[in-house]
Amino acid sequence: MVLGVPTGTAVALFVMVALPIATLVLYWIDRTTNDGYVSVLGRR
Amino acid sequence: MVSTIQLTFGAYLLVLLAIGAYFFVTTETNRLSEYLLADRDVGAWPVAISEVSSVASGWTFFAWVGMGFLTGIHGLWFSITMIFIIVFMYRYVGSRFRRQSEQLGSITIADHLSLAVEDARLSTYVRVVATVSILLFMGAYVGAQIIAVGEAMDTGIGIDYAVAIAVGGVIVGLYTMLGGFNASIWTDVFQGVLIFVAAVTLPVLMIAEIGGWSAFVTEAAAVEDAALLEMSAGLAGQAFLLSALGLVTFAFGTIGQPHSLMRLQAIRSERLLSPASVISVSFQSLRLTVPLLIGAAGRVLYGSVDNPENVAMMAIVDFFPELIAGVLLAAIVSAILSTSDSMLLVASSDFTRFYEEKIDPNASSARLILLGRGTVGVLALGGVALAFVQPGTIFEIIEFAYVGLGATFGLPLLFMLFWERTTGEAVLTGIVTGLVATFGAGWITPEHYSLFVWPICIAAIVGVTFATSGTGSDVADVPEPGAGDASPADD
Repeated sequence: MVLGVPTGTAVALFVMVALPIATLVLYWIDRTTNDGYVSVLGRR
Repeated sequence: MVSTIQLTFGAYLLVLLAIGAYFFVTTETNRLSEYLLADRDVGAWPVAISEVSSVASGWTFFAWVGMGFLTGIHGLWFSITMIFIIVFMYRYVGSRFRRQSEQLGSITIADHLSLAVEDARLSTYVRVVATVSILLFMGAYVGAQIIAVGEAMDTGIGIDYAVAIAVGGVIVGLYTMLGGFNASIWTDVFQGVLIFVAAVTLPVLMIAEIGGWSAFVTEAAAVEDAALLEMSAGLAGQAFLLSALGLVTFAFGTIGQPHSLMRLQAIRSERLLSPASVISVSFQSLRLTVPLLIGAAGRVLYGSVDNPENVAMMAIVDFFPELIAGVLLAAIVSAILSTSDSMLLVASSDFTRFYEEKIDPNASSARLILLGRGTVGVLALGGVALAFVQPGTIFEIIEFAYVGLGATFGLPLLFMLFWERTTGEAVLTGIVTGLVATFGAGWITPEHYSLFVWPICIAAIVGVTFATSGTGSDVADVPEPGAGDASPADD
């Protein structure tokens, strides 16, 4: 029981928080490896 | 007697009109691409925030709050699916779509599908069916937003529902007619910030009123006839599967929302897609989670209410001082108006392009912009009329339009961009099937129609592609990267 809610709910809430962070990491990878162009998923 | 809430609200509407008037006076909206796409010169922040603001609509503060009130956190099945699709759209579809859009000179999605089909006769059919679909689904969507405006003003501000929807319709119609895409995108930015404040503050106050997070969790778990904090919503077996799949397939509509796709077309450079995705996903995560909590907290606080979709409005009036409540209600109504203006604009764009391409190719830009503005006015009136009739809840109308637009436009677009074998005949079939299947399945199985629309449409596109393979009409190729993109210095 995380936050006092059922495990499935806690996982879903975690995903909703983690996805923005994941896109931020992808953006950092784009900037450092591909001049800002999308480089992971849909490489140009 | 005019209350503080009404005064604050009125002042906000004046600001909105002033923005429309500012762009009408200061920018020369005499070229169609400038009126509609702000000359493909929009930065990452305005694109992402305006997209969030334009989808954060009657949906966020009404339909999704109602969902939270009735089934609690169960709506996250939709939210998670939608966020993954947004990432897919920005990171995978965006660059190909923008590149092809620039090459074809397309302004809207209907325009894009029509221009991409190389056979002239098929291209005309695509444009006609796509324009009809846009007008039907967007008309319904705008109607749902105007109902939400009416409910917000009625419940929150104490203005009669009929007066409220008339005022809302006039304001949104007027400033979209005046300022075009520039006005629309900048009012969206302004409103996006207000929504953020409203979305963060309200649940905190509501949960604090209950006694803090632990008290909220305990009391929410104790609510009878609902499992507010469970992803299953207390359902099991087939009932759970149908409900969760219904939400997941509803979220698939994200692939084909014309007003969101238009922003991918308008972005200044492909290099801005990655940062725009971060902003968009962040705001979307917030607005797809928080209203569910507001709804669940509302269930704990209010027990039973006449209309669960009005819980956020009730809470704003109950938990904030009048002045702040006025600003927050203005923020919510403005979000709804911004959704409506994007929709009106996209629908009017398609009608204008249809006129330009098929009826009077020599029409002057001034005439086309006048026609665009006229269409906005007529559609706004149609939306007001629908709001008077109120054929369903806000949630039901939005779901119908969302799934319909996704199937009608999203699927043919994705097939065209990612499957080289797709033929013009398959694109046309996809659009027609999307339109017919949404209305047909919605009529036959109103509870579960989103489950059926997607497989039917995919089967139709794939089937016709194979059937016309070798003999069918070609569709435009996706251009190679590099050509026509803005240089890094322009970002």
